[in-house]
Amino acid sequence: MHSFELVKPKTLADAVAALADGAQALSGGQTLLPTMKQRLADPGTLVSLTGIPELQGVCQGDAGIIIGGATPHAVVAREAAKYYPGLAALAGQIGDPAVRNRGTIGGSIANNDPSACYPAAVLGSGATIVTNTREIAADDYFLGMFETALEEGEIVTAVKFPVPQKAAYAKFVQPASRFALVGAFVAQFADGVRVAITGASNNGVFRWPEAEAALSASFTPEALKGLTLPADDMIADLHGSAEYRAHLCGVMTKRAVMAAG
Amino acid sequence: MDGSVRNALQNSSWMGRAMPRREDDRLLRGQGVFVDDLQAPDCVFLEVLRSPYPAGRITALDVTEASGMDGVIAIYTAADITPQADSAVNALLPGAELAAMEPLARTHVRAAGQAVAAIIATSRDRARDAAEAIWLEVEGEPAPTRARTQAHWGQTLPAFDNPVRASIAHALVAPFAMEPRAVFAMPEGTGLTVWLSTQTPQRGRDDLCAMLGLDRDQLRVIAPDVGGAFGGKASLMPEDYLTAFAALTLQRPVKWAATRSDEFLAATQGRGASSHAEMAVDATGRATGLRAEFTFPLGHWMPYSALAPVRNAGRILPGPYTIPCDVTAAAETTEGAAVNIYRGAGRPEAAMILERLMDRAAQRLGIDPMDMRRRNVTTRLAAQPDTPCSGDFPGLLDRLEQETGYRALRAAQSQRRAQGVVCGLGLALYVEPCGQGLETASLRLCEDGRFLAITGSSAQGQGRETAMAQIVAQALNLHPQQITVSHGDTALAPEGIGALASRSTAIGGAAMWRAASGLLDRAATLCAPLLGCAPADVVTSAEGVCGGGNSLGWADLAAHLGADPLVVHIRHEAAAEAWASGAILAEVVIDPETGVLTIERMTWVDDAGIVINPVLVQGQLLGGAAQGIGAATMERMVYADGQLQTGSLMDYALPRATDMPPIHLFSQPTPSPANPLGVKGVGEAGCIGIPAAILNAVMDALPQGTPDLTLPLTSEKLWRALTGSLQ
Repeated sequence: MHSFELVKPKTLADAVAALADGAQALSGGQTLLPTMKQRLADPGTLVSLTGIPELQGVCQGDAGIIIGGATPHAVVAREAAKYYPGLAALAGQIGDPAVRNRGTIGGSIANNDPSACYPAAVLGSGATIVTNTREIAADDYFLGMFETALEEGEIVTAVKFPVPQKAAYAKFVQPASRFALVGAFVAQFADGVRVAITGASNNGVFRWPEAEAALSASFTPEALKGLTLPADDMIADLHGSAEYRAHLCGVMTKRAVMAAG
Repeated sequence: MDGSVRNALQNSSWMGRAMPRREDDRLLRGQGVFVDDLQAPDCVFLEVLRSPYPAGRITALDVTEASGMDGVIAIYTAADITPQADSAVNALLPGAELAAMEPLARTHVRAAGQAVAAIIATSRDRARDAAEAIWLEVEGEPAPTRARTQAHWGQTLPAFDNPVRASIAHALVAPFAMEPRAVFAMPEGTGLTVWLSTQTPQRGRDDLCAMLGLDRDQLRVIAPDVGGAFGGKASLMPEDYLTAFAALTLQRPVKWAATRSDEFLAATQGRGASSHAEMAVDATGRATGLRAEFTFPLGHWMPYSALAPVRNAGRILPGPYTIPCDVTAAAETTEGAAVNIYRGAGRPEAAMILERLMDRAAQRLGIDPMDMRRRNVTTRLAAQPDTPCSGDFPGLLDRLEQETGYRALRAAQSQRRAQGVVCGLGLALYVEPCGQGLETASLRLCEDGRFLAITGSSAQGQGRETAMAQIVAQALNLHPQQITVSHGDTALAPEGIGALASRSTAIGGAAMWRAASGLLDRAATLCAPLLGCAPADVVTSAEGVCGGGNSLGWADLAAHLGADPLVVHIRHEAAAEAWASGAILAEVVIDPETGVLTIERMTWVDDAGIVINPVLVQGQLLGGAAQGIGAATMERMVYADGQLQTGSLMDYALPRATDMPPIHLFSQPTPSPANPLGVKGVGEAGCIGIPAAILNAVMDALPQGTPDLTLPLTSEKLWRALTGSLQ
């Protein structure tokens, strides 16, 4: 690891100020720290976001639940369960206990790994990403593999989730990393169903409009029969071909619907 | 066995007892001491610059800037090191071409990850900073083949009439010890003391001595706690030489410890062979001929034991069966990390192709696979080299059938299939030859009345100390706690082989047994006049010796003997090779929508000979099974255009605790005539039999006519096999 300065602000304002000089934000560090250990990143200055009380915790808001940007997955798995069990279950499947105790929701969606679990929940729930400067609808936030609408130095302070009537996440794990080879998040709201798929596409997390339409008409596994996704934009790597991923999108969506009940 | 040993045996029953491992208390409390835990005040650190480029010609290598960086003590390139000899390669096959280690690439890089420069600095980070400042250019050129070898076993058989055929492509896999390799070299007199994470301390010493130009008495190798090896720490590696060379040249302590990335890029790999075989069968289900061809990749250089898998695969066919054989195995260097022995080392490759052929023949003839094997197993063992020393193969099958309720399982399988369940049963019958040659042991009565047992075998987590103490306690009618077991230090055991090939209990244990028997005889001779009885009437116990109504404590005896202590050294040459064996049934289901494989249950009847300690045997079997499951279902090293694609655990899949199926173990021993204890090895069994059983179960589950699948059996492959879209 290259040497670096570590800044540990206690307030959001101090964090924003510290990031103004081109420093790198550090949340749970579950992607950034291994990258630095391999000397593939040399950020110079890290600004830790985990010691800022206003970025922590799960609470009920006017229109759903609000999760602080630096809230670890394990806390979401535990504390969101009574409000939004589908989301809590997803958080409880990320990585392993060590990852869940360090990794945070803000860190995950700021990184926007195409195989990460959280983007599926955020997009599939139609959540709102709150930053230090604005609010961004999930549909406008995820811009492709490792790309988001965040500006330089912008911090995810919270994510606001509307709570659906039913929701579930079905994850097909990549056998080495246990990231999602394909993960499908389905959420049934009063005004329709949202389906978000992670792990599969070269463009990162995406919604599946045909499945949403079919499930909005009938929230049953059978409603998905005959629906397929083209393999063209799917990720192909040593863990799965594009065709296999495209196939698994259908299977995992069906299983998510079955799990949602 | 003389009379006194027989008496002792009647009085003690330490052998066969399920004792907890004496090593665990210390290791589980974090009190283990591994090479990288060792410190010295003026220690400096070695790091290796590895070529990021695949094979090619070095057109630029400039260390000028790096040499001037803070904390940098020295930077070596190939021009700066002076090996006094080529690294040793065991020429196990006649006429074998050898390709020795290049500790640092000279004119050409032969594979990505090959060491190009060694940087010694006051800290690891400074050494790594300097490594990044070295300027290296490589112009891509195809890697020439450095060495080829081919060997033949059995007889040349004529063409077969309508044989069954099978082909297998094994993936390259990582031996993956939990503790990465490490070496710590300290100048000592005119030579060195080298702490090495190794399974072969004596060979490490000999190979280092040759390359450094030192005499044997100038170099001491110590293997402290070693966190797994599996063949990956059996042969001298470039970093071992470079670290020792640096310590000798700089005359200060130098340490190198591999990162996980180093291990993926440059540690030895295992497997990787492809095999094609055909077997002739008559209408009664008798196999009348077996022709097999293996091709092994060697990587870009050959560690000491590189040819052992080739030889093992060739020599052990037809395994537990009686079939005329015509076996060819070839090996050649390839671009990539060196390929060497890995737990099983050729035995898994032989077992898998043979067990596939048995199932193919059974299917063609409409015979149950269990019966197919019964018709072909060896029932009369010949005392010949490269054939099983003992074993009751029909008995293994009978026991497996009984413990699994095999007939009922087959019936249930038909019903499940009718309900759309994709399920399969897979058998494997395997043999495990457990090593040849010598091992040493010495046993001493110490001044305090305790015993010191020094074994030439080494330990990497097997529970060696526990087993050796039980052997000595059994022979001398002592309590195991009275015995200190020492290993892994060439100053204490100048001669020995180490832990390889499942040999340590069969050969090392036999050596220790002989040492204990010899000590008992000497004690009887020495004590008879002191006790006033005949030597044959001297009896030993935890307290000491007694006879003729008199007794003498062990410490008193030691004091009496004074400067001429009771000590026995044994150099034991195994008269024959012990062969373990076993039979396994794997029960699997495949998710037809995703291809995900679930192993519902494994049932395993093993013949490891006389068991010293069932706890240790179970540990070896289950650990090997985990690695066997990994090799069959998920592990693979993948290169693309010469670059490693599986350079971390994000891409290299290892089995975890949750991947382990229920495994039911049953012990059905037949004593080995190859050693006085009747013991056999058990270390490699899981890697040999388990993958073959899994592959057979998967093929049983898949539609008839499914082409041969390559390893590992990933979910996508199984999904494609089920949907008829195999690529």
